[in-house]
Amino acid sequence: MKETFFRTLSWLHTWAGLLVCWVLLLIFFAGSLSYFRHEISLWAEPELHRGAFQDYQANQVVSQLDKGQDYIESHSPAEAQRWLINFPTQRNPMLNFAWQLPPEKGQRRGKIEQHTALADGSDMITHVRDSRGGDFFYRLHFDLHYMPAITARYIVGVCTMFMLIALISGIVIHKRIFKDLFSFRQNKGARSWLDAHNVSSVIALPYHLMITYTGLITLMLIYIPWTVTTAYPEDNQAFSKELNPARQTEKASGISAQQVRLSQLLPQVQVQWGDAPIKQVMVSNPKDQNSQVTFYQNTGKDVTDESTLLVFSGVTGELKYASPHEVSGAVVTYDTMMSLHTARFAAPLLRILFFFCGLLGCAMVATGTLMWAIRLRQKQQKTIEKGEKVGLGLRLVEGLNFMFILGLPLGAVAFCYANRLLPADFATRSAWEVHSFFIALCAMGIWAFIGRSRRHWQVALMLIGALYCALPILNAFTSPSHFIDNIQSQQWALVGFDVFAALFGGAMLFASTKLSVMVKTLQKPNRKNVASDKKVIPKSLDTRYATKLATSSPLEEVKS
Amino acid sequence: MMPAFIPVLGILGLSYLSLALFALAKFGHFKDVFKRPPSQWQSRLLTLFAWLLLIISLSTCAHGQGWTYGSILFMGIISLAAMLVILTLSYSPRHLPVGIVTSSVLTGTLLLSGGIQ
Repeated sequence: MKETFFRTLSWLHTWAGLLVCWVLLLIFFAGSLSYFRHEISLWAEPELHRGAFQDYQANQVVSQLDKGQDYIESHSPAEAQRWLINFPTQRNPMLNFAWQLPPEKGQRRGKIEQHTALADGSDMITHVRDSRGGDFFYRLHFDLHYMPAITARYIVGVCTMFMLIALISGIVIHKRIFKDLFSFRQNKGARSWLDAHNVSSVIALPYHLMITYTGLITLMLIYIPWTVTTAYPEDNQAFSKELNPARQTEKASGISAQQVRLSQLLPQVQVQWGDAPIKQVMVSNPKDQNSQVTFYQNTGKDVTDESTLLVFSGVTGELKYASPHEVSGAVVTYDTMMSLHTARFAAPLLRILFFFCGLLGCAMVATGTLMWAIRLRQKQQKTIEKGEKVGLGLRLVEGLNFMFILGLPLGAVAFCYANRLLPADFATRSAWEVHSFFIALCAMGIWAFIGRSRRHWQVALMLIGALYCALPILNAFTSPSHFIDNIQSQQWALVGFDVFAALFGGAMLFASTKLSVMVKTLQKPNRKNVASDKKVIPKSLDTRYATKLATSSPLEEVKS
Repeated sequence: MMPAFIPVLGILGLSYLSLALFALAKFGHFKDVFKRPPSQWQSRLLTLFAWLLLIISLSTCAHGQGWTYGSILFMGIISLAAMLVILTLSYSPRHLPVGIVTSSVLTGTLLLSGGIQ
């Protein structure tokens, strides 16, 4: 009984994990990058890299509000649906004045026009290149691309469910979790891959479980909508209204009215919040009888995804609503899970650790798929040696490994190059940035058709590594501030971007040189076909670790 | 103001120390490092100290950052520390004592200088 139980779970782990592994790798990769969504967006708009950085200054809020209101009133069209004043935060250290236009036909949301104030207050930056920046990776990890969002979310949901099953069955079948916690045996062929898979899974296991489970929870109302439709059969809006009264905005009445001065509301805000920093002020239906003004607080390191906000009437200035309202235990639980998943509360260090754990997730998936390819090849070894053709399944697995493990990092770097090299006023540039990501991914797929041997991995790694290493140079030439400038002006987000690109590129180059040493020592003719049992671990998890794996003999028996 | 990474560095040192002792409590790793097997009481003592240090490092983290934020941060730090221990053990097991001494000195200095509250 016990033996069959373990065998069954082992089978479940293999198939649950492997059927969806490439999609999972994409989700993990894009999701990990989304931890730096705002930082990537900042990098993608080099127009803002000089002169616009400023910190939040409590004593400037009154004058900034006045200035913002005047600026938006005089520059925005009368039909603007919302006015937005964004105050500097730690992750977005700029003062923005923005307005949202009514949605065009077929669009759900209207376009937001955003202007950024120079820190010395002398002028506004009005023209910034059109780029999706970090939002692309954020959307990619649950909306995918080139398909309706709702279909994508179902696909992602199914994959996440498989992931959860694979995790739990993995814990059960890994009999020596604590005994082997620190065991990584290098140069032991498939054994080393298994160790790498175990290590990357186990040391970040709480993270993997958390991110997978909360990932399902974030979209639970799409996957299981029936509780809501049963309790609120007539009206979907009623549910969200009851859940969060502040989210409801009244429609414009069409009767124009005098807009209240935003700075006059500040004393009321201070009564409620004291000196807590303000993140954003939003005016909906400006200059209308139903105008509303919402103040959002910068909640910093609180583990919450709910906004702390105050809603005022935009005409009389009377306080209409203050959060947090009374919430049930269920809502608090949901909120905590959401915030754990999105990590909006995380300060830079914790954010880096989240990112590190995300990369371990990538490594877990990648080592799993590579191990699969190795085992398939072991099974077919005899027939291959007889000179028969390699089976379609094996070719497919090796090819997809090559495509995704190398293609995703290449896609990300291609996105960055497109961002800087496409002309700034090119009409569909933001779409083409995205296309370049997928073109790079497909290019690796085509490459995999041509060849997937160690030699091909080595060349591809070198190419990708070089592209990453050159990113800081690209930045220096295409942005008004280079690496040293950014250190001087203490723009750590931009500094960190360069450092990470260089580190990651260096790791890839190192892996590539290790592989080339290996290719030279393995110059036996019948080794030509031995494919993807080499380097991996898509991110700079650790180069030595990855490359030592690469030097292992691929055809060793797995002893479990 | 003290840079935010200093207390985190201290907790990382503590976690590294704790996990290194956990590893040493295991037969194979002890042998890799010291070239002889551990006695049973050595193993037990190492495990005991490892647990103690782990608890101290969690409570230090929670004390400095609050339980909510601190415990999340702790999970991240412990993953990184585990990675570092694994790397030491895989590529240079003889240097694990060096790592232990370094992290002890680092943590001790930070504790004495008030770097970690």
